[in-house]
Amino acid sequence: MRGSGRPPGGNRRVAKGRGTAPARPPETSDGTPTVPAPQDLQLDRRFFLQRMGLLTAAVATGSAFVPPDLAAGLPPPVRRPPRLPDPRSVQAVQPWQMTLAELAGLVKARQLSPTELVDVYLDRIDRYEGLLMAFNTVTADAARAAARTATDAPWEGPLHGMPLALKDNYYTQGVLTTANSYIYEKFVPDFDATCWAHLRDGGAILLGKTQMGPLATTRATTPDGHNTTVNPWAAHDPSVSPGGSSSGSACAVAMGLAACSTGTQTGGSITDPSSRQGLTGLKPTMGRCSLHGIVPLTYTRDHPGTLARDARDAAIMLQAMAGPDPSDPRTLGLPPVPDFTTAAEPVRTGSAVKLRWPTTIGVLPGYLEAGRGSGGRGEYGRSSRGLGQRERARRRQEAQVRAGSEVAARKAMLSTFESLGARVVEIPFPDDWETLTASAFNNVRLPERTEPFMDALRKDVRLFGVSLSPWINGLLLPAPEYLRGQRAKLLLLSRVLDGIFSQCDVVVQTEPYPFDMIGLPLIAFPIGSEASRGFDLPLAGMFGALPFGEERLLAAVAAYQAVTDWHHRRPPEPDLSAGNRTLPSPPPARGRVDIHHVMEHGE
Amino acid sequence: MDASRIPELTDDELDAYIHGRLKMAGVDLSVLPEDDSSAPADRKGILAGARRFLRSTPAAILAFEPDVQRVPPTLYPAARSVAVRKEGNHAG
Repeated sequence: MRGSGRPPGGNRRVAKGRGTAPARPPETSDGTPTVPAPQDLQLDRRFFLQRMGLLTAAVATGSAFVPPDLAAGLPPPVRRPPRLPDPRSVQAVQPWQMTLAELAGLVKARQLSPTELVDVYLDRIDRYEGLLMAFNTVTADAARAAARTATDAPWEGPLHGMPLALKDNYYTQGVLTTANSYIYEKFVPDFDATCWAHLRDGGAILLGKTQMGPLATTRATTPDGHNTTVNPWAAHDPSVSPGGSSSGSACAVAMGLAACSTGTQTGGSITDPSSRQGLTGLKPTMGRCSLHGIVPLTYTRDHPGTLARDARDAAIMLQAMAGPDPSDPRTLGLPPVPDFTTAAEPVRTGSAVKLRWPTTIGVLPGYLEAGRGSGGRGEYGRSSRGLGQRERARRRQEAQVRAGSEVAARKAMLSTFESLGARVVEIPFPDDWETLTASAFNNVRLPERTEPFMDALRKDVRLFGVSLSPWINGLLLPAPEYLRGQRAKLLLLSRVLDGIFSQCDVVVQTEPYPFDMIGLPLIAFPIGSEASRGFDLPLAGMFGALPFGEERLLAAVAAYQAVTDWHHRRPPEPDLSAGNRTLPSPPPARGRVDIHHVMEHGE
Repeated sequence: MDASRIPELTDDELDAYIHGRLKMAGVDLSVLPEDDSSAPADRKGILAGARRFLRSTPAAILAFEPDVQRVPPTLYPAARSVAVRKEGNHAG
């Protein structure tokens, strides 16, 4: 690892907001299309800062929000149809083991029909759902009908006939949308969430709605806190968290019950379950994807995104989900949606894979020290209260083994990136990092969560089930503290932009904070495994990037995944034989979370 | 008063604030069981969590004092572009 002596990416920064896009994307010698420059290099990050200020002020004052036009002066994006894998190269595995891109290639070539594909997933849901509890609702009949239509229709694009699982806080017209909450337990929307409408218009098929933490807090539980979804890597042990709150979305993809899924993230709810289940989870920049038609949690921090098998699948999903929506002012006046799918195609020179763009990876202090930045979010439902001394010692030993494995995986990951051409540099924390990212400033989100639910709070606090505590606390934070917190958030954003991204293009992260707080993109991806508890559990890396740096993140992870196989590894198929007594019983025997867990571990 | 010198509040003082605020907002906790750890939420746990929150969060936020001239509150965002025009031209 080297010290940072020159600007990230060398001297290649292009003039901001200038330049002319080529009529057709240039290609490398092997025909791999190139993208002239990622959007993170084309934007003046100051505009993003100013825009964030406007957005926050609009929320604070309840005033109309007219965002400045970040798109002004940017070259129009050049997009090309995604290059799908050659069907001949992917037929050695079963369809449920394939990536969405691989499936799309087969469907396009008419070697697999949407009808057959939906049946594959429904069969697996039939077989495993009782154990995994990934879904709230399975729309089997509607999925089969949509598949028949798609089978007879001309190919529309990579989402054509792709069966997807949606987190149960996405509105789906005519389909129950509960957010795992008593408040929404009978709610049937009369319109689709914008993100789902975009996916559906691209040809996707709704397979079902997935289990989640109540109102997008904590791991997936019933509204009163009993664990539902298990981590498929340890399906026999409900105390192993599947991650929250998009737990069911992750489980459905990890176990091959759906081709891909959607999630939402306010405090790690995409990256956390992706990390725990060996998936590639992408939380885009605030405003990339519309939140219209998604049950709100925190107006300035909610982000729709995707939980996918790999970076290419995430790019296909984001390509459809992203874009302006008149119903969500957070999405207006932003840079045009670039070509994510091309960005996520690995670039090769001969047989060697290389990064699409010169990329400097920033490593913050403690990242390679055992026990530091090792998650810290605890195991939902795995309280240490009341444990004996022996059990506590055993868990400490497990944590040490896990921490050692994490450091080794991180070192190997960074080394792999260096072999792909990345520069890896150590960078210090910006000024006041510890203060500005502390839980007190994270808690500034709580009044925003309380306000839209005031009617329900007044009606009956029991409607909030196990999630009540943060809604009550949001009621208690005085306005001056709220505003001070919002001011500090903008200061933190400027420190991140100037203090971190003046030295690198992407930065390693171990927690969703503070990037969730300030609206910057994050991607989580598998980098190894560990066996501290006697069975394999995935380990993940996480990168953050500049505003609208999704291309950069996707390109980097796609290159990494072209030379590693962690993203191909799947959970073991559970033994469902009648005599197997190790399988967990249905709730409430799977354990529970309590109100303190929900408050401490957030969303 | 220096925010770092805000005196520690007693449970009774905090409870008075919590109950008053909830009453003002029309939120009624009395429908919850008083003390039942097997319930999804009980009054004892909610109040304990609220007291922890109030002891940890407001004072910590107020203890951080950005320069109000150079880091204006976001209610006045137009000034942001001036405050951060040059690298390092902001202060905490």
